[in-house]
Amino acid sequence: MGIVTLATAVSLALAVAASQPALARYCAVGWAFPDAATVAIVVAGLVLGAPEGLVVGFIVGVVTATQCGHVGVGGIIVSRSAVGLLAGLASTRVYRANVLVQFGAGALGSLVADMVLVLFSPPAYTGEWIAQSLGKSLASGIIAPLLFVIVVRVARWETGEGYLRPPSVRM
Amino acid sequence: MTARRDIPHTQRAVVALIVTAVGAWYLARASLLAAAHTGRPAAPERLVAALMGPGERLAYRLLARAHARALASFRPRALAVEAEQLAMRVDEALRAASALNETTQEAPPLPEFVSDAAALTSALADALPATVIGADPTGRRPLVQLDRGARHQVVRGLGLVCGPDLIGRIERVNRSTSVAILATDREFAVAVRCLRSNHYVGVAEGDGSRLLTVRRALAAADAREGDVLVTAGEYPRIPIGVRVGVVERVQSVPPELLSVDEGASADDTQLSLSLVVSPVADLRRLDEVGILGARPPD
Repeated sequence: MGIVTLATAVSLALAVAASQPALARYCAVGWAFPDAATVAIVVAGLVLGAPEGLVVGFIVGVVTATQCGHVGVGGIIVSRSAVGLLAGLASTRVYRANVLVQFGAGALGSLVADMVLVLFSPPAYTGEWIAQSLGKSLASGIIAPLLFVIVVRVARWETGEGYLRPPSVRM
Repeated sequence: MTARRDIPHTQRAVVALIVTAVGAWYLARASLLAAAHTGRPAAPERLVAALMGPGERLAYRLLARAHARALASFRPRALAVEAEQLAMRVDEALRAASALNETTQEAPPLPEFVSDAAALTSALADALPATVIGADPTGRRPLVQLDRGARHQVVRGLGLVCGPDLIGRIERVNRSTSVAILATDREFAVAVRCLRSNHYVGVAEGDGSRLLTVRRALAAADAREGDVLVTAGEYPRIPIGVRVGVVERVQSVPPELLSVDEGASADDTQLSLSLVVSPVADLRRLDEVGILGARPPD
């Protein structure tokens, strides 16, 4: 992928990460709100590859950590980095142009981020956490195709139809 | 480009993730150490937060405007109800403040109590107004993000109030924003006393969801259901007498259920009390709050 696609994916991830606290406040239905920051990491990983996904995940993780308290900072960064890396490793195995795949990737990315975070910081009430995670993953899956469209259109403009070929997993 | 899925690449991916995890651990440790010594996050976090702060405030303004327009278009009745509830909360806050004044006048003439009321009134009046611009981005904890930060003289540990109610504490201070944990967070704890009996009760801690608990309440405090609990003044940055919540339930805890660390003994036949406390303020609908003790900007 080209530099413009990389810049678009990183800028989108940073913009969405900055908006995430406001999204959690104004776009919540009950406990569920779209985890758009994690979806942006998934998009970056699937479109750009594993190394880029890891770096974008780390950057978004640091931004998210500055929006939380001091407890659990490490877990937030590791969970987001892991999601970016796993999305990048999966980029050779999924057909990214399918809307259902995009929905599933967004939902699964949000769920994986929550599960990794739970290893570092167990929730107070497990039932509430399960309900919230499932609701968040559903909401994240719904908005995932929108973020995919933005990055994929830039990729298509920059590289032509070559954007559909899976990125290299050079590390 | 063809994908190469041989083992060395997977091993490099695992190594990269381990290096990232170690880096995250050091950053987290540095953050905690820096916060403990200076009250502010570590330098890398401050830099990132300073760069992202304007974006977060802009995102709040855009989303708040869009939310208000959507409510006005699709749910005008909900908007009217929200405005009514806000007016009711303001009235209730004013009534609570005047009731507190009357209670202090009827209380026994203890010098510390009279001086508490004066200090409390002054502290509440001088609270730095702040707007809640976001919630916890991970949805895990009861946190709020505020549009006041280090450049508004906000420091870590300051109390957060909504009207006359203590609702939280400043946890992280960035350049132009800050993060506060709410009273129901597991990391929040405050010493409380009963307003009716004017006796120290114990330490109220958040349960991580919607309530606070006082696990070992003093029986001499005679706390009952419906009693108002206020701060007992053991924290230098949170004044005495700020309302914390209302006792929802009083439970007796047999001594055999207490741990040795909590002072239980085989000969102890007296029951200990555990209080479940409900915050008075609606912590799910916070818009404008006050930061106690922050000096106003010149």
